Amino acid sequence: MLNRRNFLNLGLGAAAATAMTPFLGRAALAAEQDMRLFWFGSPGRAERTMAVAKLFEAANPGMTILGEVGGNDYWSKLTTMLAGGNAPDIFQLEPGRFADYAGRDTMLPLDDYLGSTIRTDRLQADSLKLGTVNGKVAGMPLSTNAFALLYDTEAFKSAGLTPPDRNTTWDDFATLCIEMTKAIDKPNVWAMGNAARYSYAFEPFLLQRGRKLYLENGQIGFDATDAADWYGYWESLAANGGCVSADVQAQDKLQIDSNPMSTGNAVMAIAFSNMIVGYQALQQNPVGITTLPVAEAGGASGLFYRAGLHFGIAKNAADPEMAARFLDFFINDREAGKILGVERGVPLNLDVRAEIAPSLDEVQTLSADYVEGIKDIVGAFPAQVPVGASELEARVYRTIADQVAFGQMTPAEAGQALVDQANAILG
Amino acid sequence: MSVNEAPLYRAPLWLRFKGQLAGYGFLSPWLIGLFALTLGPAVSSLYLSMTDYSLMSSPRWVGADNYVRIASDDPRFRAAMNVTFTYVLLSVPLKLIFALAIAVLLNKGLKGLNWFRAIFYLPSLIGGSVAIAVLWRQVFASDGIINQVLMAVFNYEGPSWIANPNTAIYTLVALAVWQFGSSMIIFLAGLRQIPTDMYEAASIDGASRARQFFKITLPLLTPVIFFNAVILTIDAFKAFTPAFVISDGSGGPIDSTLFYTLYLYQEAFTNFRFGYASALAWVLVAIIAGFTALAFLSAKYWVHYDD
Repeated sequence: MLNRRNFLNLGLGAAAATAMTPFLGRAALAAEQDMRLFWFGSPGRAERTMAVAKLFEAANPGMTILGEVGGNDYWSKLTTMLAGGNAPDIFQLEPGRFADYAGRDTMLPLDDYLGSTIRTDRLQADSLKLGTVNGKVAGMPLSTNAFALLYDTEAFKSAGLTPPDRNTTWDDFATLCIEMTKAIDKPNVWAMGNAARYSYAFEPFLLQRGRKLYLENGQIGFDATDAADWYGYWESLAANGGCVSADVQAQDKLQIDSNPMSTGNAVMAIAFSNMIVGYQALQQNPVGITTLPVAEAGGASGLFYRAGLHFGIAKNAADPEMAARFLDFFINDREAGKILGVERGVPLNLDVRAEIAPSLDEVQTLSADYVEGIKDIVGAFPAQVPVGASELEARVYRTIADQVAFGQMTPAEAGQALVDQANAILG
Repeated sequence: MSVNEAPLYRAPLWLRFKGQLAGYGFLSPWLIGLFALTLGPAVSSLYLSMTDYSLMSSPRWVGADNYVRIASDDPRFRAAMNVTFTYVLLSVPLKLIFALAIAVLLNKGLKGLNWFRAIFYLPSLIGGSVAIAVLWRQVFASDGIINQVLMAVFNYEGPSWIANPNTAIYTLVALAVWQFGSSMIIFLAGLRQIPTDMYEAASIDGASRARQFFKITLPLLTPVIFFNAVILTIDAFKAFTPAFVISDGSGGPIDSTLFYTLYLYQEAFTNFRFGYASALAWVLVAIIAGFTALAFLSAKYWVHYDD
């Protein structure tokens, strides 16, 4: 019954409730949380990544993900932030530098979160190996891809040549390149870039002859003869007009848009399978994808499933549990998978992989089918690249290959120089 | 009142300091900047230069090891010195000559002088920018403007100047010389200071224009030349942006544009050798200090102050 006293109480209660509201508001504010996410890549990748971040925010009220995209300066920025103690909570790494950062103890080992916060039951077999350094899972592989040869399908049609396939040897390939350059018959256009400087092209070449780029103990797994053969192959290909001239190759910065194929100086490129998306974006004609040339027909393919990219959680992340949840979401959530497509490589989660297959466009389907199609010929995942590999990558492979291309060194000298310098850096 | 007479009252120390407080207050932005942003990092960099510091681990004291390695066992350091000295020794004199020549021309009382001055100064304003370095890459590329002109005029198919290890450094020298604007402005100001009656007297005595230039203009301009030379030399040793942008930070092709600062940057941020990079930085400081000291020592033999 409503009498004056009750009414008063009600009024007081309402007043109190009103007075309390700001405090409630503040309590809600305390649950609000920021998480910094840092990656590198194209604007398309940024759109996809931020869209997934928005989904994650919607599923975790109060959470805000602050995305930062790095360009050329990504690695210096990341290094500076790590050194300065203000590392982003989650950052992207690529296989070539992964162990450099993991080996320097910058990332939180994920082993405690695997199987619980980060679900692993539907991941492709052995996926976690791609992120394992010194027996610990240092970072989460996000996707998988493989080495591939990309080519301009129209160029092959108009030249009347057949694109390389599983049985094309390096010698066949040289003949093919020389014929292709002749068929194109345009100044400053060749069949191929000079791939001598790419360690990711050298690695399958080595695997095919039973050698390795790096060993488990962090040393190189090839000798001066292997390297000399490699440089010799490209030198003679260049001399016969099968691949681009030295000054064209020197302008390549190991990026999609600076590769001779993208600059219009070549019609083929050795790349990673996921990069077909990026290459196609810069080409008029449809891009095809196939396996790399081999040492002998039917022999080892030199291919293996590698991690597309990794996400690592910073050692001093404010909320590692939340960061681990984000990694789980990024890898295992179907909606997230649909947004990401195969831009970073084929999803590691097999359910997600099957789920997104119908929604992929033509180019992405090519990439996904290629990765699927090589499953019977891939070898085991090789040793993680050792600490110091990024220095080799940035300073040694390129420089020595250029010295051969500009005629400052013979292939034999270059082979010895590569071994010497690699040993000096890897210690 | 005699000069020697002691003051009747001397304020206590704190009061005298209080009087100066306002002065220090006004100085404080600079003081804070000096101590917090310049001296602090400089001292810690000196310490780091004697350590092995790979970012994640704490610095490990190694004494003079880094300096010993720089001096005895670092081929890339020698490559970087080579590139940097080529750059300094070519770009500084060329830039001085260019700036002085344009300044003398502009000083002839040209119509629209202000416009020309602004136009010639423009490259200096924008020249250090990334956009210009990118433009430079286009100009000297294999199908760039330079080669198109060579093809059209001389029917000569030029190489890709930027991508060729034998020519890449000269494109960077050209980029530096092109930015002669600020030296030119200083030269112009210097030329204006020279009294015109000297030229009048000289021409009455029958001195030719060339003789007037060498006997009046140049000697009276030596303080300005000296100033410009010192500033340009220091700047050239510290040059970083053009090489970084043009070679995408690699110093390539084949280390032919590996400026000293670029090498230092690579050692720190690509190879994680912060200790070694700090040592490299101090070696550069010593080199620049040495060159500056040399310039000042030589000054009394050729710089002419008319007072």
